[in-house]
Amino acid sequence: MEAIAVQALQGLTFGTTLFLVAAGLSIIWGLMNILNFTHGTLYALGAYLGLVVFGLTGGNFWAALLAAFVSVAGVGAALEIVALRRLFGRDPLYYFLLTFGLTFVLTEILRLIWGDDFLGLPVPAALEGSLHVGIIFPLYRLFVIGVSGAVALGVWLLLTRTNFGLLLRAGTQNPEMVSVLGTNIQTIYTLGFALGSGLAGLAGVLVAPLTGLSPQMGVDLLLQAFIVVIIGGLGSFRGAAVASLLVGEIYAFGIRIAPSFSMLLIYAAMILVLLIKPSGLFVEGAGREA
Amino acid sequence: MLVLADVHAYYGESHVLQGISLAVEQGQIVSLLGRNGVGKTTTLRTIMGLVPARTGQILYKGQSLVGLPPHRIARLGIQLVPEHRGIFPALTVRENLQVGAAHPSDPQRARHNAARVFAYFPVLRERLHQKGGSLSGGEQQQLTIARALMAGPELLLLDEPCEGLAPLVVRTLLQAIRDIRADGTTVLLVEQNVRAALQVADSHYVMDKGRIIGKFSAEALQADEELRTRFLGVSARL
Amino acid sequence: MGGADERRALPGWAPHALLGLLGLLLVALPALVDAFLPSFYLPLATEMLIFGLFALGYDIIMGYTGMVSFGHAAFFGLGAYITGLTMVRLGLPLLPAMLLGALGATGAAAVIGFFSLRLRSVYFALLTFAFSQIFYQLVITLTDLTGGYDGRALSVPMLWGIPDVLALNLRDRATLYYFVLAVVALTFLAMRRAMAAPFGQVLVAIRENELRAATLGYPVARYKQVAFVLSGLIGGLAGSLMVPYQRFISPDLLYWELSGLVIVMVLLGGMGTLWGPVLGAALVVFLRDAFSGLPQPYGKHYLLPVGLIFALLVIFAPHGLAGLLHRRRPPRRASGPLERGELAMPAADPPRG
Repeated sequence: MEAIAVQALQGLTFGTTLFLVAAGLSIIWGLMNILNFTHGTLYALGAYLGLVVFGLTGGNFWAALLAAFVSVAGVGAALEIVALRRLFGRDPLYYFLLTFGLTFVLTEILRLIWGDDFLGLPVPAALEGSLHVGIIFPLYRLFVIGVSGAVALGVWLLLTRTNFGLLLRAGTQNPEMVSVLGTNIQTIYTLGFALGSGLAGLAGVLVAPLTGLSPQMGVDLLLQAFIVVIIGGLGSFRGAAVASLLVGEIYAFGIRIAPSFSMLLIYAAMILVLLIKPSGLFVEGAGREA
Repeated sequence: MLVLADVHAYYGESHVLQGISLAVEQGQIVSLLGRNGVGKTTTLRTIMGLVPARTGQILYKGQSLVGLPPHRIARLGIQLVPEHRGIFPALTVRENLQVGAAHPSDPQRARHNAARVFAYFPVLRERLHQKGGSLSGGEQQQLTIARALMAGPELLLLDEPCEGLAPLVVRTLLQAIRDIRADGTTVLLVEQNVRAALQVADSHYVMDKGRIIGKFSAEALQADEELRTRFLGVSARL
Repeated sequence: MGGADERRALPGWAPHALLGLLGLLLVALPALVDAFLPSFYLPLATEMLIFGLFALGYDIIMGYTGMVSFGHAAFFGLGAYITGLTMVRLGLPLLPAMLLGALGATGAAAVIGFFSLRLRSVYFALLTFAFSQIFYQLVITLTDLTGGYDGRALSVPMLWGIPDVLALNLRDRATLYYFVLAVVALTFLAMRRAMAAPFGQVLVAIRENELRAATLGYPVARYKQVAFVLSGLIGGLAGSLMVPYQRFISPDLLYWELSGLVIVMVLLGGMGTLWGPVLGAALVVFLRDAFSGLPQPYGKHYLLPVGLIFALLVIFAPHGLAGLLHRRRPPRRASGPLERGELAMPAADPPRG
C-alpha cells in the first residue's frame, strides 16, 4: 500500500513537470502550428542557466527558477523573431524541420559551454530530507509538485483571465481575424512562443536536482511531451494536463512492473491515438484536418 | 473618406483586381455589386491590407493605406466583417466582443460601444456566455458585425452579410446597417443580394472581371435592365 | 510528360558522360587514396557510400513523392540488426544475412507504411517517428538478444560461406569498398531507371498535386505505399552494409537523430535527384570527419555547422523544397476562404529597433 502511494507520488512529480513542458509545446502548436523540436533543448538550457544563477546568488533557488523562465523565454522570442517568423504561412512541416536543425545548433552550443559530463544542481537546503506521514517521501519532490501545480494554475489564469490570454486563444482559432480586429498577431506569436519556451526552461530547473544536468537531458522528455500533446490533442491545454498526469502515472507504475516496456506502452498509446483521432482526445473548437 | 485609384492586386499569378477606382463619402452607405468571382471580396481584403495592392493608391482620410499591415489599418478606424463570418468558435460571445475591443483598450469606450452594439443586436446580450460556435447563422453574423463595432470604427466594410440568411434575419440586419450609419459609421457593403443592397445603400458601384463598370443610383439600376442582366444576373425589376 | 527534363540545357549525352566519369573516379578511388591520401580516407569513402545509399532511398519518398517520414532510421537500424543478429545467432554468412536484413526492413516498412500513410504532413512524420521509437525501445529492452545500449560486436563475416568461390576478404579495406560500391551503384542505376519510368513519373505527379493524380485515375494510395516500402528496402540494405563496415551494431543505428540526419542529407544535396542525396550524405560524413580532426573540444561538434546550414536551407532555399512543400495545402481550419495561406501580411511589422 505504501509502495503504491509512493509510486503514485513519483508519477505525480513526473506528470506535473511533464505538463509544464507539454503545455508550452501545446500552446506553441495551437497558436502557430509549430511543432517545436527545440523545446527539449530549451528545457536543458533552462536547467543550465538555473545552475549558473544558483551559483551566482549563493544558492537562491527561487532566483534560479525565475531567471531560467525569463531568459529562456527571451531565447524563445529571439528564435521566433530571427528564424521561425520567416516561414510564416508555409506547411507546418517546414517549422518541424527548421526547429530540428536549430536543435542541433543549440545542443552543440550547450555542449561547447558546459561539456558532456553530468553536472548536479543541489537540492535547496530547506528542502532536503523527507516527509514521514505513513509514507516516506522526499520533501523536494513535493516541492516540485507544488511549484508545477502553481505555475500551471498561473498559466491557466493567464490564458482565461487576461487580455493577452484572450488574444492568444483567439489567435489559435483565427489569426487573420485577430489582426483585422486591430491586434498585431505577430506580437502575440512572439509572446506565445516566449511563454511556451519559458515554461520549458522553468521545468528544466525544477527537474535538474532530481536528474542532473546534461546537454541531452531534454531529449527523452521532449519525446514524452510530444506523446502528451498528441494524446491530449495538439493545442489543447486541458488535454495536455490530463495526458501529462496519465503518462506520468503509466510511466511510474510501468517502471515498477516492467522497466523499459513502459515506454513501449506509451508509444503504442500515441500511435493508437494518432490513428483513431489524430487531432487528439481533447481538441477544442473546430476539428483539424489530418 | 475612402478613395481607391487604379488599384491592381494579384492572388499568386492571377490578376484579380485590374484597376479599381471608387470613392466612399463620409456618412454614406455605398454598395459594391457584381457576380460571383469578379473581385468584390478581394477589393475589401485589399483595402484591409490582407491582399497587397501591387499598384495604385488607397487613401483613407488622405492617408495612404498601401503597405500597412491589417492591424494598423484597423487602428485607423476601418473594420472588415468577412464573408463566412470568421468568429472565434471556441470563445464565448462576450470574449469574441472583447477581442474586438482590445484596441483601443479603453474600458470607458468599450462600455459605450457595447451598449451601442446591444441596442442593434439585443439577442447577443442573451447569448453572452455561449460559445460563438453554438450560435445560429444569423446570430453569428450579428456577432461578427457587433465585434467589429466594438472598436468603434468610422468605416465598416461588410462582405455579404445577408448571404444564406432567412428573410426575417436579413430584415433585422438591414435595419441594423441603417442604424449603424445613422450613428455615424460609414459603410461599404459588398452584396450578391441586389434587392437587399438597393434597400439600404445610397449609391452602387457595379463590378465585372476585376474592373468597376460604373457608379449608379438605385433608380438608374432599376431602369437599366440590360445592365442588371449583364452584370448582376437579375433581369426583373427589384 | 517529361517535365523534369525540360530544364536540362546540356546535350543529351552529357549526364551519361558525367556519370561515367564519376563512376571511373569511384572505381579508381582506392588506387588514388593509396597514392595521394592517408589510408583512412578509404573507409571514410565507404561510409559516405553507405549513408549515400540510405539517403538515396529516402529521396524516393521525400524528393519524388513528397512525404516526410521522421522514422526512417528504423529501417536502417533493422537492416543492420537483423543482418548482424542472424549472423551471430544462426551463423549465416553475410549475403543471406543481408538479404534477410533488407527483407526485414521491407516488411517493417510495409506495416508502418500501411498505418502511417493514412495521415499526412506533420501527423505522418509523427506517426513514423513513433513507430521507429518502438523499434528503438525494443532494441534497448531486449538486452539478451541485442546487447541493449552497449550494442554488440560482430566477427568479420564471410561473404556467402562457399569456400573458394568469390570468397572476398571483406577485412580488406579496398575489397569492402568495392563491395559497397557495387551494391550502391547497382541500386542507384536501378532507381534511376525506376524514377524515369512511368512509376517515377506518377510519384512526381502525386508530389505535385495528389488530388489531380487521383482524378487522373492513378491509385495514389498504392503508389505511395510502394514508394514507402521501396524506400524502406533500400534503407535496410544500407543498414545491412554497416555490418561488414563497422562490425558492430548499436542502438545509434536506429536512433531518431539519424532519422533527422537523413532528411538533412537529402535537403543538403538536393532532393528528387537521387545523386544529390548521395552527395549530401557524403558532405555530412565529411563534415563529421573534418571536425573530429579539430583540436578538442571542438572536434565533437560537427552537428553545429550541419544544423546551421540545414536551418538556413529550410529558410532560404524553399526552391529546393518547392516540389515537396509548395503543394496546395488543405485549409488549416474550418474558416472558409480566410485560409491561412492567403494571409498576405506584408512581412508583418518593420523589423524592430
